[in-house]
Order: sequence, then structure tokens, then C-alpha cells
Amino acid sequence: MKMFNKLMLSVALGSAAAGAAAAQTEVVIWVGGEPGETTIYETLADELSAANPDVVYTVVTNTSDVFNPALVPALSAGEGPDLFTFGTGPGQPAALIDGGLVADLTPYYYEHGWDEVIPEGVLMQTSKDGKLWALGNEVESTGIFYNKAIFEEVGIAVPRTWAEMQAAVAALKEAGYDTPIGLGAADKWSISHWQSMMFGRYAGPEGIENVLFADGKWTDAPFVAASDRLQQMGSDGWFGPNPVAINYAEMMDSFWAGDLPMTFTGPWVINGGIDAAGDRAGQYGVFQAPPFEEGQEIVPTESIGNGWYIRSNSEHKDEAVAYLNALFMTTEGRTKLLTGGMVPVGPLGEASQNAQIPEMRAELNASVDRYRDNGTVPAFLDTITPGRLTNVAYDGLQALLLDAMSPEEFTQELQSAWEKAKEDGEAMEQGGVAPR
Amino acid sequence: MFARYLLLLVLTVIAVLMSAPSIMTVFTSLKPATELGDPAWFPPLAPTFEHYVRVWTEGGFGKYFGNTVLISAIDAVVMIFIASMAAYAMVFIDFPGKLLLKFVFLLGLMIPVTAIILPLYSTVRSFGLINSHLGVILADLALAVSVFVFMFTSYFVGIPKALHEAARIDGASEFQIYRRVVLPISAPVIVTTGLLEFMWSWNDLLLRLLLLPREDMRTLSVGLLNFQGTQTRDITALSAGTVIMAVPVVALFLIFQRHFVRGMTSGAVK
Amino acid sequence: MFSDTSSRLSKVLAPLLFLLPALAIYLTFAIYPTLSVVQYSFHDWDGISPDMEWVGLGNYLEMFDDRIFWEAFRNTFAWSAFIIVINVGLGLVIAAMLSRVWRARLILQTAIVLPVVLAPVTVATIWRWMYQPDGVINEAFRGVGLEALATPWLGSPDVVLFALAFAHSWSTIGLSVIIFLAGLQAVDEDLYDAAKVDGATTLQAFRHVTMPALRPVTAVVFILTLTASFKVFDIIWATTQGGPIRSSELLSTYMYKRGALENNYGYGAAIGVALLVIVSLATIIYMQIQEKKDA
Repeated sequence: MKMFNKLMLSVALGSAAAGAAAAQTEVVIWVGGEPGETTIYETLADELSAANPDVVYTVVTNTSDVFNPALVPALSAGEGPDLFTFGTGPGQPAALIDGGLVADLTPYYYEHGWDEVIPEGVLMQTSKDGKLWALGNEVESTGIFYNKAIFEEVGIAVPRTWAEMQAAVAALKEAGYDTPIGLGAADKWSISHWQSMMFGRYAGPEGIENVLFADGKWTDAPFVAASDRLQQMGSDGWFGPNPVAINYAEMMDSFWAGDLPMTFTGPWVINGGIDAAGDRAGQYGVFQAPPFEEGQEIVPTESIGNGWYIRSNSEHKDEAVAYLNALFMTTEGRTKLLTGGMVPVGPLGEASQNAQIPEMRAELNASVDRYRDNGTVPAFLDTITPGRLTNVAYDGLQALLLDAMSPEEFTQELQSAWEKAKEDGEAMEQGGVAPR
Repeated sequence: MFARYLLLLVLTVIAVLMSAPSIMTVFTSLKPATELGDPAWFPPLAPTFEHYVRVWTEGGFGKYFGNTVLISAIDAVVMIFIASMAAYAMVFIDFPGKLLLKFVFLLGLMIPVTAIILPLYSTVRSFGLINSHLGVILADLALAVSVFVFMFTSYFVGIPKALHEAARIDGASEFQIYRRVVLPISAPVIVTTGLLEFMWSWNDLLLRLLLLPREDMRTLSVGLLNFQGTQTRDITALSAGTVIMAVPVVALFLIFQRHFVRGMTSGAVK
Repeated sequence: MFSDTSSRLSKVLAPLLFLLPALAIYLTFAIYPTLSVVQYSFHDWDGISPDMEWVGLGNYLEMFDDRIFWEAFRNTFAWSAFIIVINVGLGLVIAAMLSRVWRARLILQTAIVLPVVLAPVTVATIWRWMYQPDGVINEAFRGVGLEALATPWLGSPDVVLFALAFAHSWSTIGLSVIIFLAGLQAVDEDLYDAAKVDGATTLQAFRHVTMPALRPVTAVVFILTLTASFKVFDIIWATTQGGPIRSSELLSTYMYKRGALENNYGYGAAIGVALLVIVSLATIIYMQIQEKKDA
């Protein structure tokens, strides 16, 4: 990992050069994330500010992008943060890029060795028109989180086949667990995680790419079959009697309280979960759902959480880049991220040896790595499809669970929204950064 | 006699149902982690103030309190003056275009704030007032002034015209009549306006998020979001934050309750 | 004392000076942005990029054919109707009852009005929690043997809109109660007593004396409730975001989805303008009816 040392040096030199300037500059950073998740960004800002007397890094946290109505108007007005996190993909992120509000990061990409760190899969989601626009913050995989104590109590093991899965669910119901798999379906996006995973399983990585970037259709057989299976699981009561009446946060509270055997979610819950479960935190583990059909392969899900953007007319781009470098390109920064429960993009190497990774996170990573050779599929289809399709999918998924729509109707609605979005040029293009 | 007691019983049931959710929120805010699994209507057995301390310090409520008081107090006072003056002109002075103006003011009741956040931001920005208390105050006033002009107007209509006429004959200017005759008998509607505007300003979230993006400018309503993400929430801290936010407004309500009830629209009934 | 010209001048100036502060702030920070939204509604615009394309009535024509718009339209009407019935009807009844009570009046009144002080997001959090399948409300029904009434309130497409409207009414009815109480205090007691002497029952006296006398106050409550309920956004967004499926989708949430989340700002603006026009029409129609009654 010589590269990281080299980068660290360049960061240090960069700040030394900046030290020559007399006036103190303020670099404003807006980050979004769940409460508690964003502490690491504040710590880093304080450290960097202390190390460079001439630069002050000010972090403003927002617990959600939706609750930050100021971001888009501020950027449109040519002001706002120098550096900020935001979603990636079509819709608003694409509009920010097309509107010229965010800076082209391609020069930094080559200059600071980002090209050696950022994997191609991530690049796909953060680049457009051959240029890099955002630095993907972390890799998020999803898996089934489960309560080992309940499994033990009921006498079941981690299911490896669909038959075992069915048996496990039956045994849990028998033992009085009305909701074998927690699902906070009042939050539509949380059903969409199931949809992304199951669409990926049934269609495989090529099948998904074929729809996203070529002329595949959401009405193709694998998607209908996946929707059908999801609906079936719902009507068989796998998600409890009323998943749509419960929201995600409420469901997670019950899960950490030890009332739910399983739930399908991602790494962002781990830190809060460790706090909530206290000394029972060791009870929780993660596995990948078994194949849904015979002959199906397990394909792990992987998406990036958010992207870091720099405002196009910021006067402190270099300072902003220094912050990103310190966070993502130094072994120390990466170790801190890992310890904080986030997995920075790119090879982990030394950082993973130094970091104290929460056990749940380690289990999630292991479960992904075991099947990585099968390729990966997007964990959050809703973030890479146009808003128009996302809203149709969200409503449709609740309709599936409430038996208000058939799998065929669901996939047809997806397809017609998709076609309209493509017509209007809203669909994501295949990414990639042009070689220098 | 029986009817009296029945009435009292029915009202008590309604009052209990109305206040139960708030009481349960207070309960939750005082519960230690070990009691969170208990039913919500269970009072806390070993009440703790740790959540309040957490909200006040880590949650930044200590910092945000001053901002909130400042904005809400100015909002309330200024609103009383601008709304009562406008309503005075609408009721006591004759001028052309009054009907049109009445409709223009009425329009303000219908504007959905969510629809106008983009142009509102650029308007406030063009005055250089983003991240300033003044920007939020002006936006608050603009978006609520219609309601209070409406209320003051319906109150002033009930003031006998003869009172105004008599003062005119005595040679008083319009401003003198407004200040010496009309305002002194308008205490109820003044208190109502002050309280409502204070409360709305105190609780508003959207305009604060939009116009005060700097952390040190935040208000309590924004601070509450520190405990509520899209995917997680901290129910005890949320409850404690809610109680902290509610206490000053409830106190004002209790203090001014008497005027408040008498006021409102007694003018509307002739 | 004044010369003719200066008195004429003061005639023009006086109303202007009185109106100026309110009008200047209002026109700048409320009306001007609203007019901008009207202008956006004739454009195809993503809300971000510098170019807007003029599409004339395009967005409005699209709205006319938009099935979901009409769903949201119907929901908004049902929502407002429910809230008006509760806040105006029940609000009046509660106020009337309170006005005949002396003992414990202040504490009862305070308890009933209390929810008014809570922030909308707080109201949403509280009621999401109460409406959970095994939340307080269902547990209470089960506790008193009314199992049949226990429902997954926010998960049921048939009841969610009314469940949320109820929560909204809970947090706003206090305002109606206060306004009605004020009005009731001003109703002429003599009229009421005369009716009682003529042998009218309490209910008859209420119906024939109190209610007509309260008509102007009722108008105030009605208009404030109507305009506020049509614009509601927070409580829906913080609980169901319009779901399950679209059963609690209102014009305000649909506007936000299409405009901000789908980057179709022009279309969102058109929905916003439609919302504004609909509330205005409803208010004007109501005022016309009232005026006819008064005449």
C-alpha cells in the first residue's frame, strides 16, 4: 500500500503549501446521514482544521436529504456548501450535473490516484459523459440480519436452500413469532430493497444490466417471477400480518429489542443496533438469503450509499479535495471509516487490519465475499432508476403486498414508466471515466 | 342536575382523550432504557432526566433555544403591528380598490408554502438575507399576515363606527385614533395574534431548513430532526425534545388564556 | 385646521401608510414567489438547470389526463370534508359544552386545547406510534373487548386517510374551540333566556338562537379550517408519504413527488397552482353562500 503513503505525503505537502496564505478560509461541508453516523466527518474536520491554521472546515449535518430543502436552491443560486453528500444516479443528481452546479472531479481523479482506488462498478454510478462527478462514499451491501438467540431457541440453523427457508419460517411461526421477517413496508423504499435483491437473483447481473443499459424489459419473465415470489411471501405472512402498517424505524426498534427473528437490511443499521441492543449485540448475525428457486445462484447486492460532490463555483476546491483525500485515500482515514462501520470504496488492505470492524459488519462482508464470484447486482434499484419509475415502483410494491395488484400488472407499470423516462432522456447512461 | 354531571363527564372524557397522547409523550421522555418495552400508558417507574440533558447538550437545544426565542418574539410583535394597521385601514378608512385588496390578502390563506420554496429562496437571497434571522422573519410575516389581517378585520368590524367618527370630529389623526382609541380596546385580538404567530413561528420547520442552513443559526424545530433520520429515530430523545419545545408555548398559553378566549373574534358577533 | 389639499393628500396617504408595512412584506415574500410559480407552471423545467422550455398549457393538459392527479384530488376533498366536519361541527359542540360548565372549566379547556401547541412533525410522530398494529389504540380496543375495531390503521388503504385526518383534527380542533368559545361569550344571553321562557329545550335554543348568532364566527372557523386543511403536507409526509399505495396521497404530496422528487418542477408548479385555484374557489363559493344567507 505504498500508494496510500504517497497520498498521505501529498496531503501533508498540500496543507503546508496552503499554510503560506495569510487569510483563513472556511470550507463549508454539508453531510447527510442517520443521526450518529456523521460524527466521523465532524471529527475529521476538527482534526484537519487543527492541522491547518489557515483553513477552517465547518461541517453541517442533516439527518436526511429529503429534510434538506436548502441544498438545491442554494446550489442553483451559486452558493451553498463547498463540499456535500448527495445521492448518485439519474434524477436530481443528473440534473445537478447537467445544470453545471457541481465540479468535474476528473482532474483530481487522475492527479490524486483515485483511479487506483475507485472500482469500476462504483465509477459507473458516479460518472457521466466520461467524467467523474462524485466520489462514492461507501459500499453498501444488504443481507438478512437475524437474531441468533431466537434461531437457537426455536432450533433452526441458517437456511441454505429455499426448502430450509420455508421450514425455518414455519418453525418460527409455530413458536409464536407472527412476523418471521420484519419489514417496515410503510416506508416504501424498504420493500424496494427486497425488490432489488430478488430482481437481481432472478435475472442475474447481466439480466439487470440488460434492462438498465440495453433493451431488456421489466416485463421479462424473471422479474414477473420475482414479483410473484415476493407477493407470495407476503400473503403467506412471512412479513407478519400488516407490514404496510409499520415503518422501518419502528420495525428496527422491535428487531433490536429481540422481538423479530429476521429482517433484510443494510450496514447503516449496525452502529445504532449495537447501541440499542447493548450487551445483546453479539446475538445478531447476517446471512445471504438462500436461492429462491432451484438452480438459482446467490448474487450479492452492492451499491454505493452516497456521493461526495464539490460545488462548481467553490473557491476552495483544493481544500475540499484535501478533506476527501484525508478521508478516503489515507490508511488512517479508511481505518476510521471502517471502525465507524462504513466500508470505503476500493481495496481495504492495511486499513482492514488496523480497524476494529463491528462483528455484524464483518459477517455481512464475509457473506458477500463468499459469493462475490457470481458477480454483484445493485442493492438499491430505486437510486439508479429515474424518479418517475421509482415512484411507480414504490406504490406498486405496497400494492403487491396488499394484494391490490398482480405481478404482471406491477411489471407492466414499471415498464411503461421506464419507457416514458427513457423517451424523456431521464434514464441513467452507462458510466465510466474517459482515459486521460 | 343530572344533565350537568353528564356534561361534565362527557367533557372529562374528551379532555382525557385529547391530552392522553401528550401525557404519554411526557412519560416516554422520562423512561430509562429498561422501561421502554413497557406499554406507553405506564408511567415511568424510575424517572430519569438523562434524555433531557442529552437533548439539551448533545442535541444542541441549548444553542438553538436563543435563536428560536428571538425569531418567534420578533415575529409576534411585528405581526401585531403590521396586521392591525392594515386591518385598520381596511375597516376605518375609505380608499379605492379596497375590495381588490381584500381578495389579494385573502389569497395569502391559500398559498401552499411547499409549492413556493424555490422562488422564495431566491427572493430572500436577492436581499442577501439567507442565513440571517431577518430573512426568516420576513418570510414568516409574509406567509401568515393574511390570517391575522383577516382576524383583526373581523374584530374591528365590531367596533362601533361612531367611536371612530367622534375621535375624528375631535381632530385626531388616523394614527392617533389607531393608537389611542382602537388598539386599547383590542387587547383580546392582539393577544391572540401574538400567541398564534409566536407558536407558528416556534414550530415551523420548512422555512428554517430552507433559509437558515448554517448550524449556528438553527432553531429547535430543526434540532428535533437530530433524533429522526430517514431510517432511524430515537424515540426518547424525540419525546424529550418535544416536551422542551412545548413547555414555553404552553406556559404562554396558560398566562394569556383568559384574554385569548375572550378575544379571537368577539368582534365578529354583532 | 388642515388646508383642502393637505387633507386630500392625507386621505390618500393615510391608508397607504397603514397598509404599507404589511403590504410590502406580503407582496415581496408571498405574492411575488407565488407569481413565479405560476410562471414556472407554463414551462418544462427540472427546477435546477438554467434552461426552461415554454410549453404553454402543456402541464395543465397533462394534469387533466393524469389518473393519479384525480386520485389525489378526490383524496384532498375527502380529507378536507372530514376535517371541516370535525373541526367546525365537533368544535362547536365542545365549545358549547365548555361554555355551560363553570367548575373545572379552565383545566378542561386547557386539556382540550393543549395539542394545538405541538409542531406538525411531533404530531405525526405521536400518531404513527399510537396507530401501530399493536399500538396504544388497538391495545385499548382489545382491552375493552372491542377486538373487531382493532385495525392496522395506517396500513389499511380504506381507513388511512381518515385516521390521519383524525390525527390532524386532534391537533387543530383546539383553535376552533377557542374561536367558538369567544363567539359564544358574545351571544346575547337575553335572547337565549327568552327562548327558554318560551318553552324551548336547550337543544332547540341552541339550534334557533345560538347557531344563527354564531354564523359570522362559524365563517371564520370554516375558512381557516378549509384553507389550512387543503394545504396540509407535513403530517402526511412524516407518516405515510401518501401510502399505502396512494390511499393518502393529497395534492400537496403529489405536487412534491412530481415536482421535487421527479425533477418535473414545471408540472409540480402546475399542481400547486391548481391547488391554489381549488382552495380559492371553495372559499369564494362558501363566502357567496354565506352572504346570500345574511342578506
